[in-house]
Amino acid sequence: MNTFRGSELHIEIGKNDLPIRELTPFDKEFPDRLRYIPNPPKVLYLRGALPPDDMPTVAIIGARACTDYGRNVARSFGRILSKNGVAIISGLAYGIDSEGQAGAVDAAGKTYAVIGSGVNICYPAKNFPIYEKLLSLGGGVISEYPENYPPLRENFVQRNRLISGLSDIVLVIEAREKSGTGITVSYALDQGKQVFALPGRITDQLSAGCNRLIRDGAEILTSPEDVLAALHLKHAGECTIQEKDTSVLSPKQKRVYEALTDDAEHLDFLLDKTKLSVTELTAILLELEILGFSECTKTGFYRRKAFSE
Amino acid sequence: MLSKIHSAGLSGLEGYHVSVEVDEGDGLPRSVIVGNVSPSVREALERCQVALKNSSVFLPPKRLTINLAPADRRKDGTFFDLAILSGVLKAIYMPAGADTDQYGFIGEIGLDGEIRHVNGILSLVSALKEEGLRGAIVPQADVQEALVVENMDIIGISHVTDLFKLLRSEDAFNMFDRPIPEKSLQDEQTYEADFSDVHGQSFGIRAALIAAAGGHNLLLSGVAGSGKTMIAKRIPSILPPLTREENIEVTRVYSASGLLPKGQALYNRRPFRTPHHTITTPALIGGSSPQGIMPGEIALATRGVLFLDEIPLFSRFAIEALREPMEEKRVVINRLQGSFTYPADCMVVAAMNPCPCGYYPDRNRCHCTEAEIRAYQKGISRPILERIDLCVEASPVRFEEAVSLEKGISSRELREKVQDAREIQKIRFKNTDIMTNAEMRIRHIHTFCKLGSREEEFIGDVFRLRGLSMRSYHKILKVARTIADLEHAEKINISHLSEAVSYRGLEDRLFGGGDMA
Repeated sequence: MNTFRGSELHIEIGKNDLPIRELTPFDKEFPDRLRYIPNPPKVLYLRGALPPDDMPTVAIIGARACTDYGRNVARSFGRILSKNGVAIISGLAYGIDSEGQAGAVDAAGKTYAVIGSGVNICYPAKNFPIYEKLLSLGGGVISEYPENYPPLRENFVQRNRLISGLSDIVLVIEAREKSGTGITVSYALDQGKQVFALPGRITDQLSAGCNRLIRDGAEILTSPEDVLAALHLKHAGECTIQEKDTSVLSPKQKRVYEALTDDAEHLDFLLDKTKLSVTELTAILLELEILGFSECTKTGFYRRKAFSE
Repeated sequence: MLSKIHSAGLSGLEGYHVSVEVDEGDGLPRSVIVGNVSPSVREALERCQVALKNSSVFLPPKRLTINLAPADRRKDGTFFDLAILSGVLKAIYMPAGADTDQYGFIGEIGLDGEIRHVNGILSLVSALKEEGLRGAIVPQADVQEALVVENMDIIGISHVTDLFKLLRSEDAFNMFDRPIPEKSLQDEQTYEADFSDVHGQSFGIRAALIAAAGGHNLLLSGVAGSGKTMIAKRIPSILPPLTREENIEVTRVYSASGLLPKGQALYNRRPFRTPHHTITTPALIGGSSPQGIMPGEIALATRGVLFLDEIPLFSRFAIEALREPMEEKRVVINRLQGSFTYPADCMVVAAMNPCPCGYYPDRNRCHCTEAEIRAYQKGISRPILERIDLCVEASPVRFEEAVSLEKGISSRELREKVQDAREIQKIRFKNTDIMTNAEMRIRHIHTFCKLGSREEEFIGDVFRLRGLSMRSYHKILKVARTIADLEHAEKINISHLSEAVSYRGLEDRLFGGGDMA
């Protein structure tokens, strides 16, 4: 336990908790998807369940330091795909990874976390609520490393091959030119998986990685339907990332809502855009927040909220 | 012959009366100073003897015993030179000369006979007045400051020859010219920096206005170069002008630490102190120095603004030491020499970057990991954050704003609003021991921040939505009270509350409420 760093949470497994299981390729339950990848894991540690071999799986991966827009998209995709019976695979890291899985949890779907430490360690600790919920929803936490194994930097690169290995399709939401996401993608290509990348503006550094993937031949990710079609699934229910119904808003609220964007903006900009006074603007923003139309990401920064939970 | 001269010494900010007794007698020539004196007082004798020689006054070989009473109190500083010299002269030459009983003598003497400036004149002369003396002889350089003490007959002298003239005869005191108080005594208080120079930042300025109106502490966060320092620096200019009592209080601190501008009677302006983040604890709150106990930055900022730029980088001990002074509005320094009390009634304005690199949440430029950002923000001590009512994010300045010639709202307009709001608070807290909304404690909040049922329901919604702590809730009420005061509204309404909510931030994010992804 001496190598533990700042933001880890060490979970004691009690009697009533899910036990940790150990699987080897000789076990029947060992996932077929992982049997045939180059350099397959010799042993898997598991809490909860594994994604069934006949269940379609999608990995949602991307930068840890991501934009609000990226978070938004990751969460929506996670939620919509999960509603359509797709299991979401990711690494429970900060940023895109955990947002995608949080989306699946929102939809009460199945999501599986492949982590780079012992399965009884939640790193980062901030994601513990997701860790718990995904287990209670029948998902699982999977690792190559034994109980209490600390989250070392070198583990994460190795764990990435399992993320891509367990998924049928890999979605890259946001990535810089050089990133860990790039490593996962190259594993995915080696393993013959399909890669989708979310296009972005050429000036955004966090889209540079995605745009390069597209240039190199990745599929362009524009809607969850693209993914569902690639999985030969029919979609049901809410699917596109919807515009909200703004008819319930008063004219002033509407004006403020229209001034908001998916990326958080500072109040000073909103003041300029809406020409309201500070008092009026803050009041309306809070009303919108209560109605579920906006959210405050940090003091003074507001953005549209994509959906309500 | 024995002579007695009044003088005063300084202990912390307080002056105390000292009586200098000089006895001249026959015997082997020798001079001693007794009365628990420090080396700097002992040296006074050397200075006096040489000054006399250089002013062509012959000192006969005598046995001189000089006692500074009360003898049990430690005496330090150079205030006593003039009194010792006067005592020596009187003892040897003028047993029947001028009647010095009604006057105190304060000043340092140079080897050429020049009477030099000393620190803390205001406190020293006040001590003489309390002792019931009619007037004081002070260095010419300090006359204006001494004149601040009312009903004291002040005489300024610049050389020991003036002292000879003064002591020569009984009516010499009356013949001497009396200085006239300069007009600057009641001068209007002017500030170089004005809010009209700040472009954009309407939200930041608004927060500064609210903070000034209610006496709230303020945390400014924002990317490097967004104008946090600019805003903080201008806050003294929108606080109400110092009253005479406050002005004297500030002047005493500055005078005692030798920071009063030369020849100026009063400090005449709300202080603005910006200690560097490498400051030590004693420098921040006060402590021992080679000159004795000195007031720290928080005392120097009293009645003004203490600006802590880059607050996460300050040493933990230094920041934690601010806790009691911020609460008590005064700081007590306990040392072996005794305990010294300094005023510490200041607004604390803190500033910080949003993350180590300074660009968060602009993810195109900021590569800091969430753990790094959190670690950086956790650098601020929680108890200090709890004493800060308003958090505001300074927006990055756009080029068009930076070069625009359009003048923003001026400090004068803002100050008028602040003064109005302070008037309302003065009336509200007439029968209590507090002065401003920021000082309200829970029972005051219950009395003065009553909400209607609609407002109650609204704040309940917000409470659940944001996962606020009870402490945040009270702060929101206090800030909402100030916003209502700024609008002359008697009742707090929903718009006041919602504006107050938008000034909550860091504390809730770091320590309270839901933090799920």
